[in-house]
Amino acid sequence: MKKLFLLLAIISCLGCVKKEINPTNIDEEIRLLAKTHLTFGRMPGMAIGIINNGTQKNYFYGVKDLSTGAAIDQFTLFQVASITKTFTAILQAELIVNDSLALTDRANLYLPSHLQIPDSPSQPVTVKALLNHTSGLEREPEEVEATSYYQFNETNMGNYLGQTSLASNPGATYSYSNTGFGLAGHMAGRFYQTNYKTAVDQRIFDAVGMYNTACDWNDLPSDNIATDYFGNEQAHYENYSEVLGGAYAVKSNLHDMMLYLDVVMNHENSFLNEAIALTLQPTFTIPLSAGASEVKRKEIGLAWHIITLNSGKQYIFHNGALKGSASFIGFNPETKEGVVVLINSFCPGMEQDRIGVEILRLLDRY
Amino acid sequence: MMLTPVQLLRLISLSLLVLWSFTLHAQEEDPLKRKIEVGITYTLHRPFYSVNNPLDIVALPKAWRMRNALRISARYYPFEHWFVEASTGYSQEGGGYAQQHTNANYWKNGLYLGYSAKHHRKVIFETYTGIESSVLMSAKFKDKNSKTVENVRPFFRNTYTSIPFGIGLKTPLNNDTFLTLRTSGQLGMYEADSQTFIKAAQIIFPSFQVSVSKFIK
Repeated sequence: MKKLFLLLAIISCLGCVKKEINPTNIDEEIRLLAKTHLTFGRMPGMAIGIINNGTQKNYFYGVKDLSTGAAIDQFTLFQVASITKTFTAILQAELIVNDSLALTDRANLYLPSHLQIPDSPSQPVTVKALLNHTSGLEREPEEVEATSYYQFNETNMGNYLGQTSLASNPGATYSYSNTGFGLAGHMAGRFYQTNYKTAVDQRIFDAVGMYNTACDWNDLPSDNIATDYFGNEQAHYENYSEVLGGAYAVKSNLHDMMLYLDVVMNHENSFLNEAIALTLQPTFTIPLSAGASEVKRKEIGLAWHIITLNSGKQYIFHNGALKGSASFIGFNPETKEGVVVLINSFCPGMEQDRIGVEILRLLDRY
Repeated sequence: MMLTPVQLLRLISLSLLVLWSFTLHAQEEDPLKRKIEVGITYTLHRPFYSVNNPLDIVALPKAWRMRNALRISARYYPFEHWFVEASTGYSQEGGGYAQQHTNANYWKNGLYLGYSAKHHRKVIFETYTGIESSVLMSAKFKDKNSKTVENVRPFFRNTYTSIPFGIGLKTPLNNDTFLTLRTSGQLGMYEADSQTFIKAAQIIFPSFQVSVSKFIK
């Protein structure tokens, strides 16, 4: 009996051996990265696009719908979620380079009387503060958290702004705010004498050739949409809200998002050159969090986040997350190599960032 | 080799018969005085993967894919109520969606420390925890829609460690043979592979176990 115990005890204490996987090219690396996430049930599917050494490559893994098993392709529509903010910033930057407004202007000058941002005793909320998350406005109104973005209308926003106060002095503290970008989007729509979704459609999507990109599902084909998931349950789609749309509302596919990535990375060749360049200029330095030892500096431009590593390498990126979707767009401004990741599920571990940043590193290596 | 549910049931039935036959020759001894108990346990459990994030473990809905496990164990009672136990067996685990998931099968070995109420009662409460080491036997990614199966073993470590916890109720079948029903869980601790930036844990909850055990000494 003692021998049996001894044998079982030895078996129980078997040591850990780690397998080595050694991909030799970027295709294998990305496959490993994606397949591992699918293997561990992190998402039903994903579309990944890269621009590497001047060449675009697309990769598709998993399914767009678990019940049908339909495959994802470059035209499958996803909610790009908060990447929307980069479109809002470019829309605003275009107004700035055209001298229609200035970054230092009070935001309330351009907002209707029923959507006035509460005043700060020390400093007003500027256009810049809305676009770099330093306005002091809350992440989003509590009412939105209880329902959905698309159900939040101008009346709701007016009521919310009438009773809320700023959490910090404008321009002083970075605090991610969907509320601020929603108001910035609405403001831009008013400048173009329309609403946000029409303004961004005409000024950016049409101009870049993103013909399957829109803020409203009703403006998109319905036959190739990725089903969104929250865990193993189907998540509802967010539709358009005029007062918050500038923060989250864009739906797009890999084909169009790769066009966008190319235009942003190579903006010198674009008619949007000055506007995009303005959004990529640092406007605020974000304090480094503990554990970010590899990062030398973290800044924000207008919507875009800018990370400078100790090695001197710089990555510019934005991510997106809704209850049923996740996204990432990022690039190295020096090498002009970048990545787009579109996922049809909520990612509790911010897997879209992990995949996106890891691919940015791979692009530097290969 | 993976056992089908039917094969598992046959194995359990056979094991029960063997154990039952032992009871025919059991000595009429006071179980309080005996120290060593051997048993066989069938488990029906729900394994899933989770990243290192409480939101994922608690709030994110997971598929209910029930899988099987079978183990044999030997338990030693150094004191009246406390026991140490070693076990070894086969455990079907994994995770993912109902339609698209990974079946990872392990040879699972455990060392446990537990508390048991007195053995002369009709219903005996017991609880335990411990440490388990699982050796990967196979890992396959299955897509039910396309009916494709892919070997994903290279994405896994060969072993992982976990902490089980459970409570059970035990009842005597005769003087030295017992039937135990347990419910338990397991928190696994491992990362799939450092290259993938995934730190996925194999979690099992809930788990339902039925054991037949016999004091042999």
